[in-house]
Amino acid sequence: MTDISEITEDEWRQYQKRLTLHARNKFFRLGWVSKHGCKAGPQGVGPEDVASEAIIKVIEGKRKYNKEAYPDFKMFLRSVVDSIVSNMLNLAERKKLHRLPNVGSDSDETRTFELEDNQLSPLNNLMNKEVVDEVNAVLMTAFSTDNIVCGILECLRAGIMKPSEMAEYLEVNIKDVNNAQKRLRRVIETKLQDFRLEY
Amino acid sequence: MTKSFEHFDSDLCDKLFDFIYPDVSSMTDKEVEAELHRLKIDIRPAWDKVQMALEHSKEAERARKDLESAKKKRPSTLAKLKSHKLPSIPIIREEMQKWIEDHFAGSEKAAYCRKLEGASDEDLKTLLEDLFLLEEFSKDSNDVEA
Repeated sequence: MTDISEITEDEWRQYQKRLTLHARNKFFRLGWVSKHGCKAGPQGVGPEDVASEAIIKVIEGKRKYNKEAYPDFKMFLRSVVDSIVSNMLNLAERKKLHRLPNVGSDSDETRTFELEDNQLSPLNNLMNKEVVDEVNAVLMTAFSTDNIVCGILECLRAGIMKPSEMAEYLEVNIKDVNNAQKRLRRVIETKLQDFRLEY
Repeated sequence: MTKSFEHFDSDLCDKLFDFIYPDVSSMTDKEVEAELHRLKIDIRPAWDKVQMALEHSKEAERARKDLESAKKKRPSTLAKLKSHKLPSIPIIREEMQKWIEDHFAGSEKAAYCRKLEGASDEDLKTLLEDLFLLEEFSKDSNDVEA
């Protein structure tokens, strides 16, 4: 589907749902986890708002569909969501920096420091490390004696991503892997609700 | 077993998240619904904004089409105007004078008469052409509505 005007309302609604989940997964990786009905992102933005913003940008022609770069339209929509989340992250970083005392100089030398595409800034890197450490702490606390979860981590380290392949490698039933997947999700989600990065 | 948790870096964390949250594109519509329900995410308020944008976009598309069709018709309308024989200015001036006298009285009549006297032949010609064009365009829009 390349002609935006040919997309029906029902199709947009389905895109909206899928993009919401995609944004939510991105939020979660960034430590933006909703708690007690509060929206997860900075300034109370929820993943559903990001999904809407992405779709509206495309409908209004602010983001043009480039079929060559993205043969799959859904991939293109996901890239718009990624870009919005990335902007939110940068904005959150600027706000956080603004609150820090100014200890450096304001010379041109410091201003010429620029990041390459997809490279996390030092502050975002730090925030990312906080999430990684928190997840690691959760794993150590809740799963240190869980053979399946430990095996799954080994598989992930080796690049084995599919539950069926993990089950074969670990010589267990695929149901055990699927259950461990649910356990991991439930525990990490719950623990990360108590851990909120300040934005 | 704690060895499994050693060197838990950003890459492994990414992989773990990819594992616990499988790619949305591989999920069925039913699974998507169930996941949204589980996460207690209500997409309705956000969806309303999309619907509004869709409505605006449809209106803009209609306006663009109208403009395009008007653009297409413009040369033929102008050609009609050129070929159309407008009544001579003295006759028009006389008819307008009569029309003012029939429809107004007192100071109002005097004001309009003064305005007519002050209008040049060129002003009247432009006015007649504008009236002709308005008539032509209203015919077109009546055709579209019909």
